[in-house]
Formats: sequence, C-alpha cells, structure tokens
Amino acid sequence: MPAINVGGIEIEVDEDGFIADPSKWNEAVAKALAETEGVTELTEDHWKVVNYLRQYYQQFGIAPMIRKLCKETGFSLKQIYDLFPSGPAKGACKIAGLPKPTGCV
Amino acid sequence: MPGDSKEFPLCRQLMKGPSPSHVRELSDSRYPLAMYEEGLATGETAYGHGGYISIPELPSGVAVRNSCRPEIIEESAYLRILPPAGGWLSAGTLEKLATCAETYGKGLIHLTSGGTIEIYTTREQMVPMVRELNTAGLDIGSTGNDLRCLTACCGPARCDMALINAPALATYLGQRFIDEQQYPGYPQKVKSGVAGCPNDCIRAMMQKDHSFIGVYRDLPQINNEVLAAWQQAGGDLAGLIAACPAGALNWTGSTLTVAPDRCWHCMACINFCPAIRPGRERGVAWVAGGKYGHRGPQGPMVGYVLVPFIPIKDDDYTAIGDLFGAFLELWADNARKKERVGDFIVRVGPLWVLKELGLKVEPQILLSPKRNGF
Repeated sequence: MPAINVGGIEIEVDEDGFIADPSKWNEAVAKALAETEGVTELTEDHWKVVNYLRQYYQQFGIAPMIRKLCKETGFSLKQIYDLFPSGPAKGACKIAGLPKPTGCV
Repeated sequence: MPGDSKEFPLCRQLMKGPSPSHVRELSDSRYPLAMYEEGLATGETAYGHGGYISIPELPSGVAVRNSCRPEIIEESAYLRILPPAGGWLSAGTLEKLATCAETYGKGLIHLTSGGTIEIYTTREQMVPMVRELNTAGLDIGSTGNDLRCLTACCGPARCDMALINAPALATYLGQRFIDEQQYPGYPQKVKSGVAGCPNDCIRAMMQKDHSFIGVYRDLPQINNEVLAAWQQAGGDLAGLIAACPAGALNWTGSTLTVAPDRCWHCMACINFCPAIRPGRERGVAWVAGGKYGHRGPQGPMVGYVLVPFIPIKDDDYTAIGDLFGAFLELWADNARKKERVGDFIVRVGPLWVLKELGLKVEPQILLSPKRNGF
C-alpha cells in the first residue's frame, strides 16, 4: 500500500491517495495530503471546509451531500473548486482525512 | 484506412456504396478502427462502462468510456463542448474546432444527438485544449450531475413556424446558468430544451427535464382569400378538416372557422395549410419532467405542463430564468439522490411544486390535459 511521509512518520493511503485510517489524521497530515492535491497553502477558508467535513463525518459517519456542504459553509460550488482544484470529493474530503466518498460529494 | 486490403473486412463492408459512410470518417481520423471492427465481429461494443474524470481546472466537461481491449486503446476520454443555441456554427468556428481536434485529439469530432460537441483526446491534452477553445469563444460543460447544455431548435433564424425566438431564449438561459453547467452539484443531471413552436422538432417535451415551448394563446388565424387560392390549386379541404385532432375546424360552405372551446392549439392545421397561421398572442409553455431514461420508478415519461403560458415582452426572458432557477433550487434541495426531475414531480405531486414556487394553479392543465389549456 502506498504511503505519505509526515514528519518522518509513514501514513498509509489507498490507491487514490485517501488516508487508510482516518483516526491518524491531524493538521500536519492535512498539509501533506493537500500537497498531493495541488493545494500549496491551507488558508482559513480551506480550514473552514475541512473542519466542517470532519465534524459532519464524525457525527454521521459519511461525507455530507455537496449542496449541504455549500449551504453550511457559505461557499458556492465554484468557490469550493477554486479552493480545492480537484473538487469537493477528491480534493476537500481527501485533505479532511475522510475515506473516499462513494458518490454525492 | 491502413493499406492492407484484407484488414478490417467488416468495416470495409460499411464503406461500400455511394452514400456517406461513418466508417470513412472514422478511418480518416486517428480513431482506432480495430475497436470498431472488434465490436462488429463479436456483435457487441468493445467499450465498457464509462464515467467522469476529475481533472483540476475542469470540474465538468470531461467524461470517459473504458475499453474492454486495452491493448488497442486504453480508454476513450472526451471533452463536451457547449454548443451555440440552435446548432448554428459558423465555418470559422467549425475550423477552430477542427484545428483543436487535429492538434490535441484524434482528429475526430462528434456532434451528439443530445446537442453537445465532443472531441476525443487524452487526459494530458484536456486543459491546453480547453484554453484554446476558450479563446475561440467556446466553453465546456454538460457532464455529470449538472445542468446539461440547453438545446434549441433553429428558431426564426430559419423557420417560418417559430412562435418565439428559441435560440435567443436558450442563449439567455445558457449564459445565466453557466456555473450550473460547469460545476456539477445537483442530485442528478437536468436536461433542457427550447422549442420554437408546439411542433417541438427537438423533442424537448419527451427528452428534456425542462422544456420551454413557444405557444400561442389566441386562435389560429385563417385567411379565407389564401384558403380559396389554396383550394383552387388542389388543396384538400376535407383532409384539412380531418387533420384536426380535436375536430375544431368547421366548413360553412364558404368560410372556415375554428371552434374556440375545442382547439388544442397544436400545429396540425397550420402545418397542413398555408392559409392558417398561428395566433398573435405568443409566449412560452413550461413543461417539466420529461425523460427517455429507463432508470427511476417512472421510466420514460412526458413532462407536466406546469405553466401553460408565460408571456414574453421585448425579448425579456428574466421571468423564465427566475422560474427556472427557483425550480432547480427546489428540486435540488428536495430530490433524493439520483432522482430525475420527472420522478421528483411524480413523488411530490405537481400541485406541491406549483404551491412551493408560488404559482397560480391552473386546474384545467391537470384535470383535462391534452385539452385547451387556456
């Protein structure tokens, strides 16, 4: 299984680069995952989306619907794509340390 | 086609004869003809299921079909380009598309029945090609769970039947909802079409989730002088009266009249006889929920006429755009995952939709559909 290196510690990821064990996620891991998705700097706006996704995931065990994400964070879908060029699923959810979403987001 | 005359015997069969041949077009490009030959030989396509590719900068517009014969071609990825409304393309635009297809793709362009323009290329070539298309005034979109391209008939740019300026309305809606076409955020795809008159040559009512159909609210206009000339030239009056599906035409012996309570406002008599022209009070009927797709509880269905007449003044389409936007929001907020507009309306009921949108309920369109909606 492929892995990414965060401060000397190997974190396992699946073939699409999603974290294998969501409990190992922390802010340093998020930064490392962000680099794989072409996000060089995690701004306040990035963290707002990432924190919302994590909070929703911890509460419900799934990723939120895309429209819910937009409404709750106040970003339009276009802004989400500007923040995370590969999109809410492949970009934002990956950086937030969620397992690969099956559809919606 | 490669030189060896023994190669691709089945494809060669399809190139015989004087008529145009799709195989000739395919073989003139860099399309791998072996894939098509393979499909012809085995009796089923050599392509597998498809999907969408996530490419940064291109949230929508890139789709792919997987290959069952990866040794011939790994996959077939393509860009969907939003077509100009009405299918009007200048020779210059066609040349630009051709240059893009030659430079970045396989030299092949697919004009789809759904109205989009597709160019086959590789994942690496997508972004540079989109940049070049953008400079030529074209843009991509219409893939995945988003608002698909708005198709329109040719409208008054060529057709004498056009009651509304269909390409202008489609262009207005396409430009207003461009983000919805490029950022997939809906529960399911939404297709839309604009037809200039009830003849609906683009099959919008059947094929599209939303169709805007040009309609007239008053009665067909009969010019008795032209009618007399038409009859003298061999016009079939009995055939004309029989052509009316509602039996609304009456011949008094000297003049032809239309029974106002019976006329459905279809185009049968107008298509039949040049002496009958559409009424002068014109607007748009909004039909929602049509689809060909077999998925979903309803299967294929014809849409509901939700608003039988929206007047248009001075080419101002704002009211239609507002209504369209409001419905899309309502549907996206309340639809289930992968629920098309038609299935959604059947589940919640057309009356609920009208109530939520604050529209006047016109009972005649629900109680006696296919009758006079005005």
